[in-house]
Amino acid sequence: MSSLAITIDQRLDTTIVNLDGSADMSEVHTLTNQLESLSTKRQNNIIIDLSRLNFISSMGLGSLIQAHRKCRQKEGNLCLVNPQEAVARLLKTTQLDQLFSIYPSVEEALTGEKK
Amino acid sequence: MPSDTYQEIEISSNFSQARQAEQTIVAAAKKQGYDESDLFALQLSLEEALSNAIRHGNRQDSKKYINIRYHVSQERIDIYVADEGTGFDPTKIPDPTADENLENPHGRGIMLMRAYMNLVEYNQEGNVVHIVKLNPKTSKSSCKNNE
Repeated sequence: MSSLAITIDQRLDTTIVNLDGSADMSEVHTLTNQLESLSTKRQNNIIIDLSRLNFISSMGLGSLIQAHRKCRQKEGNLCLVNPQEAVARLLKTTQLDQLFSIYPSVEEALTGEKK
Repeated sequence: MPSDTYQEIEISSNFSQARQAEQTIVAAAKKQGYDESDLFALQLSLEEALSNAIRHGNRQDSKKYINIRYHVSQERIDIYVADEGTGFDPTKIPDPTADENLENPHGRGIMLMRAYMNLVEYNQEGNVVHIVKLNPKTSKSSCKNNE
């Protein structure tokens, strides 16, 4: 059984990717493939909702960075929403909180307003 | 009080097997009373050590094996991960938090192990990593080699 569930919602020109579970090494290829398929479909404004993601390692972070780079190359944007405490600490430790815009909620990410 | 766990596992260069080994060790730590943040740190560091061994050490060659030895007690966790690669020099890995490396999708594994564990050390060849997590609630020992 997969330990990571990925669901996709579309709001106008923005794709919302919901990650639920654990983006561990046995699942990271699923995340990478999903994000690459969005790039292929020219969906270059992406919000990744991390509120139900309880684990991610450097391989998963690498997938997020690659997707972020691809969005930016196509004049889009990828941002993160509401990471759990352990994942937020990981983003801070790696200083990726300086690379990604991180919002408290999907609604705030859609309007680009950080509280 | 649960007894200490000493165990040796050998897996092929396969993420699914590595994940199972990781879960076994994390479960042993949970039995010994480590809290959620310690378990996250342990899982993360195991994931980094094992994925490095599979990808960089054994270059995902399914004929090559990874040996995992671990000792889990209430006070500390010692884990050795050995691959069949030729090794590397960990001091030559660039700082992934430097501005020029921040967008590099790779190269964070060793830094994360060092950030989340109490000790990370390599053998001279660089194909065996020893990681140590002390239990902040019970440990009186230092990070020095416990073997």
